[in-house]
Amino acid sequence: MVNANTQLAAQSSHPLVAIVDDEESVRAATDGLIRSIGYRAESFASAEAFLVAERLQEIRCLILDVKLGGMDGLALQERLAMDNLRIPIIFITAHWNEPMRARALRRGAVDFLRKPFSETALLKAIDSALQASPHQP
Amino acid sequence: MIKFDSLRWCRWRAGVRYPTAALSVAAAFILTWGLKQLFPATPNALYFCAIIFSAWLGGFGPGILATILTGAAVHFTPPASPPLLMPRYLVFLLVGVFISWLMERERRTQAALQHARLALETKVSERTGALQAANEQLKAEFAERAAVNQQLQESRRKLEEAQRIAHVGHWERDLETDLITCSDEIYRIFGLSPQERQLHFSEFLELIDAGDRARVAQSVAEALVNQRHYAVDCKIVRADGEIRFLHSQGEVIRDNLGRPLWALGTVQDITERQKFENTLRQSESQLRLVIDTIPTMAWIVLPDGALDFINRRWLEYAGLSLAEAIAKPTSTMHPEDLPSSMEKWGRSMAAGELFENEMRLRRADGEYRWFLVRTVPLFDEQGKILKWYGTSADIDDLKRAEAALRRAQGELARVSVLTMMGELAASIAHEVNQPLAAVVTNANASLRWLAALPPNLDEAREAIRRIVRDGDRASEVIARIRTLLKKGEPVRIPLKINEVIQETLALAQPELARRKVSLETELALTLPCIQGDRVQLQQVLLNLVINALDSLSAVADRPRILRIRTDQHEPKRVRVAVQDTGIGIDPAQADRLFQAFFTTKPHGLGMGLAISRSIVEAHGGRLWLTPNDGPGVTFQFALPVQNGDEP
Repeated sequence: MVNANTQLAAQSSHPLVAIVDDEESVRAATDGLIRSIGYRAESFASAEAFLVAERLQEIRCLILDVKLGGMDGLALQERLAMDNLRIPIIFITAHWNEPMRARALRRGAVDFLRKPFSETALLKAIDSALQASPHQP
Repeated sequence: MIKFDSLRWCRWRAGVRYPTAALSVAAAFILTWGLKQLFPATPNALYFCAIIFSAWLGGFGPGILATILTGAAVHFTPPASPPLLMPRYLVFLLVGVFISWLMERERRTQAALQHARLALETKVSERTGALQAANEQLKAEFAERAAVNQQLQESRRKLEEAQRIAHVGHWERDLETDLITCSDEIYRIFGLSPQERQLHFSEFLELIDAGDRARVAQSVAEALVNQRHYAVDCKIVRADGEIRFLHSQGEVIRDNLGRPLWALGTVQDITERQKFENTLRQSESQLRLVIDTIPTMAWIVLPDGALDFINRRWLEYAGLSLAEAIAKPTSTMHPEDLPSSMEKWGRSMAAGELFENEMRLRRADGEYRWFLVRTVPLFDEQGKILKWYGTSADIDDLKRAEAALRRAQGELARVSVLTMMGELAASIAHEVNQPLAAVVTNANASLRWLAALPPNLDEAREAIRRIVRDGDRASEVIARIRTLLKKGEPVRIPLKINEVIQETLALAQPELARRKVSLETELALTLPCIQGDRVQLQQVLLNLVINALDSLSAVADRPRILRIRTDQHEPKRVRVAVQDTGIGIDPAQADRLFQAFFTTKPHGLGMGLAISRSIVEAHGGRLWLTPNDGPGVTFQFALPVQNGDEP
């Protein structure tokens, strides 16, 4: 009960942010940053792993690497749209590609950030995402 | 024979003459007695016959005996005959004695005659024998002389022949008359008919070309005065205008007092030889000219190391006189090159093998230039070294050009690396940006952890640890790229080829991921080290990998696989194979693939494989291409293992 309450409280005041990046260093760093802000974070090494996440419904924001082994970021975006999972997505990439960015934003991405990104830019994007999130309390 | 018969006859007669006398008288008695029986008037004349016969046969003694016996017989004959009266008897005896004496005389005369005849016959036959022997001897001598004569003729003919062939004639000069007797060949040499006339010495001189005449005359005169032998060459112009060259030599024969008696000698027509010698001399001088003017220094060294010949070019280059060069042939060598060159030269001389070395030689103006020095031995039939022929070719310009080429190649190689880096730029950016992004993010996070109340030191420490880790990773990538772009002389060190491959793959890995190429490596676990330049070999590998990736990019219908294998190719070689399942290479283009500026890529420079091959070959290795059984190609290179490094 206590647990459930705590969890619920956590859920409301500490939104869950997911990170999908096959690059371990970026994944770990982003995970740490999210938590230092006070949000909860969950990291996945691939799109496939993300799709089978237990707490998929809880996720309020997805920080997604474009280039992934297997299903890539853009494909995952399409997949989530098809599944009607309206999770706000912040794309991050080390390969800057303008058409790709345009396409991602057209499909509703919150932002498209180039690695290395500034903290300000990321936090701003997360804020936007959380505001756009349908699960906002 | 005759002598022997007459002797026997005499002996026989001596033995029987007295009995014969007795028998003759007995026979006459019997005959006379018998006849007297028939014819009582038969005279006693038969007894005279017996006396004559006995005296004829036996001589005086038997004659007397026959006479006495006859007297006795008549005296004692039966009385049919009248008895002898003393006077008659005496007469008869005297007649008998006379007859005997006569017959004896006759017989002696006959015997003396016989004896004389016998002696004469003996003498005649003896003389005849002697004459016959003399005759035989004479005949033999004659035959011998005929043979000798023939031999003499033969040898004279041979001499003539030999003289004709050798163009040598002989002559004799009577110093009293100055007339010269010569063989046919001399006449022929001088363009005269053989033996047309006996020549006087002065005529001989006339036949010699005016230019040489005085000299020949002087030589001959000098020989007559104080020498025994002379030899002189001269020119003659024959009556028909033909010019011949002669070699004449002679000797003076003197008496006991040293007065010259005869001069004799030979004349040889040396025109052909002269011509040949002239040709030889000409070609020799031409050759000499060539040797002196070729842009190469040439010399000959004897097996003991002494200088036998040196061409003008050498002397001009070194600015030395012949004497100086001979005295110290190594004086022009650069002091740094001298010890190693001399040691190598010594080894070549000892082994009788070709010597080849690059060394610097000082020019007359003091500048050192690089030369390729080669020396080859000349052997006699027994395999003994007669001489060493050497040349020094100026390769200074070549050396400079080589160095310039090496520099240009180095530059080109760098350009090629830059091109490859351009191709890899996206991957490299990714490779650096990832850790960089992580660093920034971690730094921000750690600041927040520290700013929290209370500060979360554990989280902050963890974030900083990641910063360090990712920073290291980024700098590693940068260092790898910097090494590859670094300009520098190649450094040969012992290398493990597998390590070089791993380092290269680390650079290319992001690109492989980007292009969705799966990598398979089969690296042999125990390989000997190779001797090489790490960066250059990375460049080769990177080039081959990028080529493979480019080829694989066009493949959509099958797995994109890059396979890298290493193994021990031959006992002393390590092989690296870079195999792809890409679109492969048109066999028609395979040959040109390694040429500079040949490319199948739209934006390629066409230098990658050319440079890769030159790098591999500079390592003593080989780079080649084989098509796969399936799709794609395999580039392979084999490098020699480090000396003494066996697995």
